[in-house]
Amino acid sequence: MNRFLHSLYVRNVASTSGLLIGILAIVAVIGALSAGTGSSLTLIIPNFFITVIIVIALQMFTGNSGVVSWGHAAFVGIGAYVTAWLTVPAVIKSDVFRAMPSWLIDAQWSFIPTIVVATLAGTLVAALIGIVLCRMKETAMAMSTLALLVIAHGVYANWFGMTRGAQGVYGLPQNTTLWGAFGFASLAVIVGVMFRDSRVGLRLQASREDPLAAEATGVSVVRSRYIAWVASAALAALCGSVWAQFNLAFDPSQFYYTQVFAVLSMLVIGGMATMSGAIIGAGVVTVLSQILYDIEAGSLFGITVPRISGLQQMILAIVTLLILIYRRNGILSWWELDEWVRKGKERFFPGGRPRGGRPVSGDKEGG
Amino acid sequence: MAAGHDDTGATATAPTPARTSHLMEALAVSKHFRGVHALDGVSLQVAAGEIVGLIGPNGSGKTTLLNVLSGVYAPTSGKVRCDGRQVEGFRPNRIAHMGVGRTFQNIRLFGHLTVRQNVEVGSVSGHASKGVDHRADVDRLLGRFGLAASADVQALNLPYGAQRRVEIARALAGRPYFLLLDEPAAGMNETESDTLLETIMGVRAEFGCGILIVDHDLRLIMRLCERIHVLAEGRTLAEGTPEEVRHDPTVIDVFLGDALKDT
Repeated sequence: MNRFLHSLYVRNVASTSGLLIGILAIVAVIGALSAGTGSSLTLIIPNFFITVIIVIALQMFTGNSGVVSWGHAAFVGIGAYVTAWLTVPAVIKSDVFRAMPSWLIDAQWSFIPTIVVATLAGTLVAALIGIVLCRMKETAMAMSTLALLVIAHGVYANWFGMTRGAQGVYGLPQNTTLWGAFGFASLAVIVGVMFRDSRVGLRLQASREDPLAAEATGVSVVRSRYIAWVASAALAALCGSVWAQFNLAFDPSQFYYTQVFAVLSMLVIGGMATMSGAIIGAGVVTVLSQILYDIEAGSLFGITVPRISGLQQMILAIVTLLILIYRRNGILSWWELDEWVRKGKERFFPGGRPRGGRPVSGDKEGG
Repeated sequence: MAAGHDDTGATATAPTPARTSHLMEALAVSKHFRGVHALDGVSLQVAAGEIVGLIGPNGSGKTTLLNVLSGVYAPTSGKVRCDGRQVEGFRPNRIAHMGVGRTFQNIRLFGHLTVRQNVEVGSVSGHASKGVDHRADVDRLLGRFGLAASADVQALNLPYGAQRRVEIARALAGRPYFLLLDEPAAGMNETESDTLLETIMGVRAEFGCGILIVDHDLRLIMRLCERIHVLAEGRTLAEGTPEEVRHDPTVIDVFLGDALKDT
């Protein structure tokens, strides 16, 4: 463990993930309090937690490596379809999945085993694709992930016997609860923070900054990217499984461009380099989308407003652009939330720390 | 000559004991870029504990040779050996794992990572990174190069001179047997160049690695190196001690010619 978390002392995993999970817990409590009130929060909050998982998955790869992946929705899809295969009751299955082998028709698995198998399925596919993908140059790799997205969509939309094509899948049991979603989001936070502070994470960030210098320093860029690619796809597949068991029905259009751009805009808005950025980005976009959705529907906080359709996408695009122009590295830029808190404390209560330094141990020789 | 490395004597626990048996060689290395013969049959050796200078006019192939030695380029022909093992055509990270560290002419740090993280990458990715106390290692290197106070600053926010020191510290964190320095004195005045001289002398004494240094600062090279290798138009023009090279008529000719062209 110590070997894995070599730089624990530099960026405190406990303080970063503790603070972020704390924030998620507050949101979860709000969700729990709204249960039974008929408020839309009972849907929005678990969906927010699920969004947090996929944003963290993308942060693990794209945030640390600097290589954009358009293809993660493919792994969300794998997670979701495998979940449907394992959980939909046999009666519905024979109607929905015409080509399903009989041994699979009888399968009706519970929550956790389903998630484990769905995650493994995504991991396996990513491990195979990654062998080719991670040897490519940055731009070629990004383009290939786009191809992956299109190919995966083609499979989901046309493998009728196992996906029911564009008509989509239904009949999944609602196994994902508010607290289940919260639990997996928290797990994702811990995994993401630990990954970033692991040796592989550090090497990957070095390769993001300068691939040649990283190689000359002994970093195998291909290997680091591969590990990140597989780990991140695993988390995306897990997200797909948790999501499918909350949404209960889905079709191939839900693993495509719109979703990819939404998740990327969350990363861009919050800040790709940090876990806090990923989560803040998910939060900002969720809240903003909801407000805009209400406006589109003609009512905001109970007040009637003029209907403007398409507003949601337009405003999100404008916000993303503004962030790219005025705060290129996102709201959080390069520091985690707890580091900002510490920086703020230092500014207002200076306590003899060396200029510009974050309060970390090991600064013995410091002036 | 005062070998001013008093400060290094204090560091009793050198991370790597002085080595004597390591040898890096380029054997008749050529590198052609679309017909341009950047290097043409150059042979050169660096042994552990030795400081070798590589000089020559602009475009004479110095950086190309460094790039071939560190795996950035595969040579068109010729061999590169590291402790007898053929390494030409290996990726830079594999060559780094053979114990070769380097710096770059135009500094290439991991800009958005902190100074400490920059050195850490070297420490955990170097060729002898197993069973090492990385934290202590990194702390010592930061102290050694006067970077402890700026350990948590993003590398791109450091002044130029400090960035050069981070690059050297990062390369040394991988415990290299050989250190390739590409124009470390570029942009430095005489005082800074004198400090650099002491630093490099100190590094050799402390880490015992063989150092190959490319620079235009002849004042530095002449005082620092035991051997000097002169390149011109991709070929070896002369090789020898600073005294020999200084008095070599062909060298004088090339450098004087270069100087005249500049005026």
